[in-house]
Amino acid sequence: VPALIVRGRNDKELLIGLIFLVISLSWIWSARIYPIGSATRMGPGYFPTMVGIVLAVLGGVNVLRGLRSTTPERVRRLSLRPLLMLFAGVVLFGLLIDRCGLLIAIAALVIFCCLAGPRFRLWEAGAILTALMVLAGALFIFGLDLPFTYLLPH
Amino acid sequence: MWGVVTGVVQHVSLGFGLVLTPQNFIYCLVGAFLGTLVGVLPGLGPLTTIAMLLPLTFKMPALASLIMLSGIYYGAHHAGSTTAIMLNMPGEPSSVVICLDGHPMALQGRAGPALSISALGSFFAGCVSVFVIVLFAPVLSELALSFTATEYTSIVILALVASAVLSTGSLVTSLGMVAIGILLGTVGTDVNSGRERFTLGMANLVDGIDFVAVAVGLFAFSEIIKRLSHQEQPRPAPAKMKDLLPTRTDLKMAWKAILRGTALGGAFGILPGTGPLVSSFASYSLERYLAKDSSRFGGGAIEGVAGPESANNAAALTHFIPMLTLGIPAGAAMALMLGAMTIQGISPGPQLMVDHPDLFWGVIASMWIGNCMLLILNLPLVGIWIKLLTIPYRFLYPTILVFCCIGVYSVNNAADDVILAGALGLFGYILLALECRPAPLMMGFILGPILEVNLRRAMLESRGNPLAFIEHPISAAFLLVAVVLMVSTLLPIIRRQLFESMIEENKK
Repeated sequence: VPALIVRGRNDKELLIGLIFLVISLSWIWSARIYPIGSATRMGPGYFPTMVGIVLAVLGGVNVLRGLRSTTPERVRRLSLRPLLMLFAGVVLFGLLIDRCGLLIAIAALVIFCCLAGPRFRLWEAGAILTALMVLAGALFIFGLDLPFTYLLPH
Repeated sequence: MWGVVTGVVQHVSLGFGLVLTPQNFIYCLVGAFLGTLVGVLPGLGPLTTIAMLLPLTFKMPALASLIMLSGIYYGAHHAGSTTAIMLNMPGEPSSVVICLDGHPMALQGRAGPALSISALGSFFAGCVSVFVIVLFAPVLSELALSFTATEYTSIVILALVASAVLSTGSLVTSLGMVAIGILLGTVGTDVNSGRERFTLGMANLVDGIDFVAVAVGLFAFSEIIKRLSHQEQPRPAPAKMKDLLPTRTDLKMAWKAILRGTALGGAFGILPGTGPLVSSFASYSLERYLAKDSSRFGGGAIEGVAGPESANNAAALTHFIPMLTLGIPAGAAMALMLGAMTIQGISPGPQLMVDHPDLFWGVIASMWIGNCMLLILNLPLVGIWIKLLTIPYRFLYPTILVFCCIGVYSVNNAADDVILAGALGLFGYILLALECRPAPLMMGFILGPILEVNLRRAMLESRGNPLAFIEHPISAAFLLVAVVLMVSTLLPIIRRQLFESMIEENKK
């Protein structure tokens, strides 16, 4: 008796396929305004559209395989806390560095990234922050030869 | 024949003359030291370190900056095995296999022989690889001068396919990751028409997405998020060291593995898209396959340390060949080096040896000196490196993050690049959670623009005839290898021997 193969949904493959489809379609859609040209004289739209189509096909294959897979699988939940805290810290660094200088940008980044960890200890965060401010400040001024004004709001 | 020999001697002595100046010697030492440091610390790979320190090299002379960056690169590959042996924790991905037999050896009280065999193997592989570069780079440069856009297109396709095939997971997924990378690489001004593409009207995207931002986002940020989402586990106590030197039987068992590993790694390293990670896995499988009693593997077989470690280091060094001779980076770290050269106003490729012989031979000579330094840094000082591992990760990652952000910012003094890197980190973490590795994506991103330029030129030259890629013999050979690689993933024997151990390990 041949063994029955149980088919089910493989969330991992399905999600990867969907990500591929979203990216490829958005690239193909944005490329519609660029001239395609011909194979001999390719326009700016030719290559991205071509690669976009390849990615769309690969995404389609993954979606189909994910829907009827021989190795069903569920996806682990994303851990949102480190993800969001780290992202927030990095974005804040980017937003603050030109307006408020390096030291305030570092402070924002370090506070958020200590919040990203499993436990927040105030004195530890303070110690890390002080050490990094001194280190990075020295690097910025002596290593990269930038003026002192970069450190503070200007 | 004599002419070749004198030529080589002349070039090599030129190189050594340059490296042995006090300034360059110190940069070589600093590079090897920093490389060892990041190789030992888990979660901080060579790629992240080069990205972080790249801005510091802008003000340095070209040769000094390249000597330091390459020191970081091979130093990190060299040192990753130390933590693998002592603590069962790979310092970076290519030393994952060293854990399999290196740590059991340490548990049996034989950490010393394991460390010294891996250091000696690395040193031997390093010396041979430098020699391979000295012999082959001029030949390849000459060959590369005859390459047209057709050959360049095919070799880039080969590199992309190789990086996808030799990555973990399904081929469809890895090829898709390469394609995403290529698409990200199309952002910016089209070189042929001057038209801005996919910039969403943002000024900092006109020159394309900065590759330091991509490297830091995909490799550093996403890795930190992944580590933080697991509970920090208490570090195991390092294994005890009795004696450092291997016994006569150890050497007898290991020397063949070292030779085989060096040959395998040296060959894999030249092929773009593969490199140290694949070489060390392939060497481990080969040793297990050739062993009379393969059941010893996993329980402290010295060949399982000697082979992969030699392969790892050989591949790390021969990885330079495609970049130096063709201007095609063979891996993500090489792309950062290429970026460093471009910033200094030097364009790598077949002309490099002719236009900048001092740079070319200086970097190569520094590799040999650097490998000697690594031998000294690694063996007697191993106790210090082990001490470093007692620093908890919660002190480490804020530091990594701050320096990454400063690194990304100072490439173009662009705050938007930092935000972009953050967004890419988010994307990279989602991909990691779906077990997609960022390496093929990075290869696509780096090689995509080279592919587009050459594809367009080749098609123009052949008047739109795609058969030109098969009619040129060298180009046809590259494409044939690419097809063979893709077909080989379907063969069950190769899957079992090469990939399964790799896939299992990477799931951890």
